[in-house]
Amino acid sequence: MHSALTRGNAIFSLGFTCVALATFLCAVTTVFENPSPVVSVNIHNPFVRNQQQYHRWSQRFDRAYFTFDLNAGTCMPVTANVVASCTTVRLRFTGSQAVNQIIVWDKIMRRDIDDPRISLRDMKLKYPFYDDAHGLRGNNITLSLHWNVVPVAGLLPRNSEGHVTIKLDDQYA
Amino acid sequence: MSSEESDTKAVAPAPAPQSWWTTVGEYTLGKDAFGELSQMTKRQILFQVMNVALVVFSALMIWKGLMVVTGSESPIVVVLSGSMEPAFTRGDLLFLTNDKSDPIRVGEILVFKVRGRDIPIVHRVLKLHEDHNGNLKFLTKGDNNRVDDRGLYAQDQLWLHPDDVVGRARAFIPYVGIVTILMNDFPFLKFVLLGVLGLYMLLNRE
Repeated sequence: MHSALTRGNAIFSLGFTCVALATFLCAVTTVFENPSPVVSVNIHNPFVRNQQQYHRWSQRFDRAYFTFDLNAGTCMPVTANVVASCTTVRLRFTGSQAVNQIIVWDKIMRRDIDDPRISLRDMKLKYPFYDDAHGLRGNNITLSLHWNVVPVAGLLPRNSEGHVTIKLDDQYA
Repeated sequence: MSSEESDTKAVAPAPAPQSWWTTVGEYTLGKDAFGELSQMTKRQILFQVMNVALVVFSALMIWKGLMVVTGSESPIVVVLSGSMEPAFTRGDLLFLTNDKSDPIRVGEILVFKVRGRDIPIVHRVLKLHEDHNGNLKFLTKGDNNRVDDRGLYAQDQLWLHPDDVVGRARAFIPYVGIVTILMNDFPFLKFVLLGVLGLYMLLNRE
């Protein structure tokens, strides 16, 4: 016979299966969705200084400054399976180490709340650009836009588009 | 179900007492269910115990198998704090991989453990340096935090190293982990759930 327990169990498992299936279908919708916005980046007024870093006052590091322009179309997929897109401006540079990367600016764009396009002019760096020692003078830096779509459920893809490379001064400012 | 129905089906000649468990049904966790346990032969009880063991060990095998496939020491983690909002909220479930041949790069979402602390943290890589011998060091930051994680690290620790990394976030399911959080916040729920599950499996004959 069907007791309250078996009935409850059946309803629970049916509901759970439905939710799981819906989640899976939702996740599938963004798997093949790869937005490729048009991105343009520009760097202005770069200069290098030799400065102390706040966590180590006894030591000096190379620190570079610049402002940048960034224009990008929407980098969010159009499906419903999107919560936000975490957009970061990544800087790769030839410095004191073999691989040097930092994020200099980032923004989280929520779906339907924030404007999915980016339009920045003469933006200052949100995070300071320090080298790990003294390797910035006369070296190349490359700026590019990266984003990471956060879905309602599913895979967490990472994409990038657009880059600009410039050479820093070989003198401290 | 009515009590008349259960009376006609009852095997025992004595009429069942009118207490709450007998009126709810035959298979509730009441007297009848325990009666069933006492009717089982030794062989059946042993079989039931082995069934439970089978389920437990299968779960363990799946977990260990996932560890081997993903290379991460805990392939599934629950987000415990709001420091990555609005991307991840408390109770979300993350699937991790930790492929050593694919190097960690800036912008990735990592799960790491700080020396001297057991709780894993989910944050994004903000800064990274790799020297010519392949030694990697990096700094992380939570999307919802205003400053980087140096204040969270151990005393005098300025950088994280690949050894600290539990895994890298690859896929995501919302809310599922809230059960874990509830069980952590109210430990007695853990025992209640385990007890109910164990009892149910022992007493169910199918």
